Amino acid sequence: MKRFIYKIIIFVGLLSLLTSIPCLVFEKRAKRCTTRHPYCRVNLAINSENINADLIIMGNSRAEYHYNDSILSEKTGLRCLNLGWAGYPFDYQYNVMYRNYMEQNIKPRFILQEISPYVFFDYFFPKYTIELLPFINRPEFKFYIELCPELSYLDKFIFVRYGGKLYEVCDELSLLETTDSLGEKWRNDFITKMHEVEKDTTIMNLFERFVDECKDQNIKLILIYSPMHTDNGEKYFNMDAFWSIISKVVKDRDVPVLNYHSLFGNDTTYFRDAVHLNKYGKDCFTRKVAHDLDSLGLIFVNQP
Amino acid sequence: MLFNSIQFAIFLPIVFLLYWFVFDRFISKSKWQLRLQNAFVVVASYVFYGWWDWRFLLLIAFTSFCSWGSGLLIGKAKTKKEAKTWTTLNIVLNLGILALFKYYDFFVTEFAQLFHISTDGLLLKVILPVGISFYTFQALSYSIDVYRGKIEPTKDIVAFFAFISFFPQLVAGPIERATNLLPQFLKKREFDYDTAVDGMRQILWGLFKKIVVADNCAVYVDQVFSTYMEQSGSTLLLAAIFFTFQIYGDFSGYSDIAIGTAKLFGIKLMRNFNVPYFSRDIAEFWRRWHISLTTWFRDYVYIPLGGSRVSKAKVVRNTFVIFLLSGFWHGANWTFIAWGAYHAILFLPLILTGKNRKYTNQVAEGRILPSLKEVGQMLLTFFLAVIGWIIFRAESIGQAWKYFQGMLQFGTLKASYRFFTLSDGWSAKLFIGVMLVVEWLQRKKEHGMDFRGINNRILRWVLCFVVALIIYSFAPYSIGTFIYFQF
Repeated sequence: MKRFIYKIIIFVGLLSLLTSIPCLVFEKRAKRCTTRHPYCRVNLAINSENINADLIIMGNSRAEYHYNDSILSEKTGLRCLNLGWAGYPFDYQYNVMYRNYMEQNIKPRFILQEISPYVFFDYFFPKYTIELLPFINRPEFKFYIELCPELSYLDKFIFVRYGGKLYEVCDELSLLETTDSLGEKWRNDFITKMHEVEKDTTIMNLFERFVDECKDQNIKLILIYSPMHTDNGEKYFNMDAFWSIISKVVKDRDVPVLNYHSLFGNDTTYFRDAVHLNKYGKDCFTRKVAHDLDSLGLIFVNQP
Repeated sequence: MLFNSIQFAIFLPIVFLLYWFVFDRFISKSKWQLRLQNAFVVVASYVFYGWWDWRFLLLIAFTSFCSWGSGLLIGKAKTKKEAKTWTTLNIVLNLGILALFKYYDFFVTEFAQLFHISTDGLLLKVILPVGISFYTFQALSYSIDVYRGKIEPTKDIVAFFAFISFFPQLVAGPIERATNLLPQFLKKREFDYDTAVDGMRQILWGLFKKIVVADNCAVYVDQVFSTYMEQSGSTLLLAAIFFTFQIYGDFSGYSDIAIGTAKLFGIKLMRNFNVPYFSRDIAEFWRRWHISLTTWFRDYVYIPLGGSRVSKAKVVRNTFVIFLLSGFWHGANWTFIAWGAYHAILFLPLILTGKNRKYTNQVAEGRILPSLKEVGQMLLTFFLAVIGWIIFRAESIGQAWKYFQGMLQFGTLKASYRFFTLSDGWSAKLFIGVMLVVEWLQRKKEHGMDFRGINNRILRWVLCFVVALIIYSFAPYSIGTFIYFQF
């Protein structure tokens, strides 16, 4: 009997060790990652001490991929930082990216907030929580981590925490690198399931709070709807409902809204898929935004 | 509680340690030791079952008590007629409970549709208690065996409750016979190192089949079956093949985990699967698939009806009876009945020509590879099984029919190409292959990781680690429940 129990303990111990090693390596790398991997976006906010940007860009993938902060910095003379985070709705953007950044930096003068139905739709999948796991001990992430029911047990043990899911995260990384199949994937796997913008009151209330917070802190907030391809999937959303929600929020708050929805029409030169610009499109769009912000007097270009 | 859940991973070691150390060792001098150990099995089993829904514990307790009581009454009966009355009463009671929970709404709905009556207020709409078909049949086997004089009625109510509710096989079998399992609860169990180690390996192999093969297949199968109208013929065929492996991995995986777990407690359960997809005809398939249910129907329905030693007309009747009952046992849906009828039709030519027991040995006995003829026979049997599983998996006969129509449309011939490319469900395909290779090599043994005969200790450890790492790495996101829980 003792021999049996010892062997089981040895087996489980060795298995834990074997599975923990790649997880530990992964976690260490994830925390230091400086590529476009989603982990890196979290790092960007967590390790943003004393960046003190004058202008920050917030939003989901349509912020992350559509704004070149280097070009924006060059054109405006402001220190610009893109805090866009692909795949996450507004509550994640606010609580993870914005709050972490604000805790470590002087408040920015301007915020460009990318808006689209995707920002306010709570398309939460448990796997996204996995991207927060390297930072499991940060109290502000615990709420999100607890949303993943599979992690409610033993989530402190690294070999349980990652149970085989690292590979899926890596798959997602490779998916981000593709340029041709994403539009189809979005349509097939995701957009077709959504016929209406479900107004999530939690997210919308948070968004309204954020708008008020900006006003109270004297931060100039500008909402931007960046370009979409004509075949953009908007037909799956109730866009009238979306714009009425936005109108309600900005009404009486003096928040400018720039709508670039049809800027590039259906010219595929600018797009990587139906809802995202490619690098060329990103640079062109950033220049256009920089120019418009100046010409409309929303920010003062080339001012130190 | 699911075998593939973290709760069970915590529950099992606790129960194991208490079972062997507290109720076996520390109180070994007590005359109550065996009874206390059995009582502990009952408590552990009820916790295991109650984790899902504690309200239905009363139902198991009621079924157990009635069957135990009927056994005593049958034993004390002074005449055969009296014994028969008690047996019949217990059968009616057990089947009545089963019918109420499982079939009542189905019959009411069908009856109402036939006579164009509204079902308002007539349907019970109760949830089906997990494992009710399994433990009901186990309880029935006890009464019938006592009536037949195959087993003495037990006075030990605790041992009997442990026999009905033994947690490894409570919710999805194997459906044990009282003649095999009950005597094991009436005598002291001894811990056997080799059996326990083999049990752990069998659990590991069961988890591999369930988590890696079945759950990965399920991702693809569920997607295709829910959108079957929009899928190409090759996709539908591929999904049907995947489901064939999914249901095997799921159910035989469960059985392996159940049998392996029982071994840890010094209990030997009957084998439930014996590499069914290596069968050379459909009769052999049924000797290897869900053995505990097949033999149950054989012993308690088919043989009492006269079996095959009656006129040909009656053989046809008997064959249809057991296959239709077997189908209906799975659930209240015409698809299961059609599935049973389909297999009866396949089985009839074999039994009528006396070829139903042509293949009772293992395929390619004494050889590593099968002959071409055997390959052809196995592929044909497999293909026939695939057709049957489409009917089984469909939600209605209409869906099954449309699925077949879709499969026969242009493009089905691409299936062979599609099956071997890695674009769809590559991990499922890879591990189906691994499972088939391992089970082929181990086909004469009890399970895929039966390492008796492998003397190299390092090799045994490495193989166990490899399987455990595969399970860890290739488990899908969501924990899949077992298909047979719904039956």
